[in-house]
Amino acid sequence: MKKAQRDPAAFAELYDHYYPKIFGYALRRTANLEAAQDITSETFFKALRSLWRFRWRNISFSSWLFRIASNETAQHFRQSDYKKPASLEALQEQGLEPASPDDPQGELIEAQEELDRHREFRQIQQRITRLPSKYQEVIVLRYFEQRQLKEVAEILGKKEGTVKSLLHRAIEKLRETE
Amino acid sequence: MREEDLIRQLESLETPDIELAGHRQALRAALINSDRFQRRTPTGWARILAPVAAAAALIAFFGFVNLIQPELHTARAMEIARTDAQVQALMTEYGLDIAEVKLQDGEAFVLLAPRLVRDVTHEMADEQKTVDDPVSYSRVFPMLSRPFDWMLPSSTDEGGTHIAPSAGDFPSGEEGRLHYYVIKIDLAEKTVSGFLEIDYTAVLREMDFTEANFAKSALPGDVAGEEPAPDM
Repeated sequence: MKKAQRDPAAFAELYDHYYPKIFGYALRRTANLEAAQDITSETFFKALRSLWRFRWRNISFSSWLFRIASNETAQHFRQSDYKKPASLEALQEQGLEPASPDDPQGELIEAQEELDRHREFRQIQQRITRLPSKYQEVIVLRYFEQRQLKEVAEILGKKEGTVKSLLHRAIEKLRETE
Repeated sequence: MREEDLIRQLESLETPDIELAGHRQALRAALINSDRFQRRTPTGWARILAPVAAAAALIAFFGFVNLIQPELHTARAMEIARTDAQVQALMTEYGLDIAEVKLQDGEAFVLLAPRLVRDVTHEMADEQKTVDDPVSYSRVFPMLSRPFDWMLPSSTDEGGTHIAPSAGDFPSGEEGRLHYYVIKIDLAEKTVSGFLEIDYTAVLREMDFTEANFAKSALPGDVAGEEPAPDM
């Protein structure tokens, strides 16, 4: 970890390992490719800037990174220009057509197609998005990221018992959105 | 839907596992090439330190020009004046000493004044006062009007009371006159380049020597009265 503060190659190793996890988490929180990219970028830049402050004693690096991503996601939802989940149709309306795999725009369309195929996920994710941020994060971390309560507590910086109660209330609130 | 069913649905839900290789590569490159790592390399340090070094050099340069260099020139001018034979002769003849040094247009002007007046002049220069100031005038005037007052032996009566000297005790005429000279110093050549006798009325820093005519020599008796005093 100390090496990663000075050595770009060491930081790149960390990045390669954690990028899929953080991007996946951001995507499952927002169901929006553009937002997930922004949140992931901001998370890694903040992590790079704050790496010197990180200490293993209180929290694992993974949890620390997820905590940053969680805060960034909350910030994303707080912003007035919150981006609604983009649909494939909306992307094509913007002039984006499927292209070669090396083409970022084509890649984006393919990713949107893949996202749209998870119809059930999108439906329930839209319901989760209507909940306050504190409920969203416990549901996504516990069920979508399949984290243990202890890990969720570490990421959110709360006691395990508090997370358990939060999760219980979050499920109740989610049932109300049906 | 019951709570257990909802939890079961959440646990069994298939979530998207998407990766954007383009974004991943672009972000990776942006992070690796960020300032955070750039500044760790010698080039990065050089980029950060260059403006700091330039600022430090400017401060050092202006500090030298405005603070150190004048001090050096003043000290050099005093040394040149003290080692010049004619200046030494003036100092001995009229009991003069260096009272003040002024730097103007790359030249130095050294004021020679009677020794006791020199001390008061220093105080006035420090306080930025002139003899036009009533307080300063009252301190300088007795010495100017009765120049050898401080040289007279003090006398007391039988009871030990101090007796003030009478008018007859003071020298008069040329003998009682105080002499003030401005010595022009060529700092580049390290020589005394001119002499000017003046009627002392102000501190040196307030005098302008641009139009003054300095004599080449200052042999006692030859110079007095030959050169006009500078504009004040």
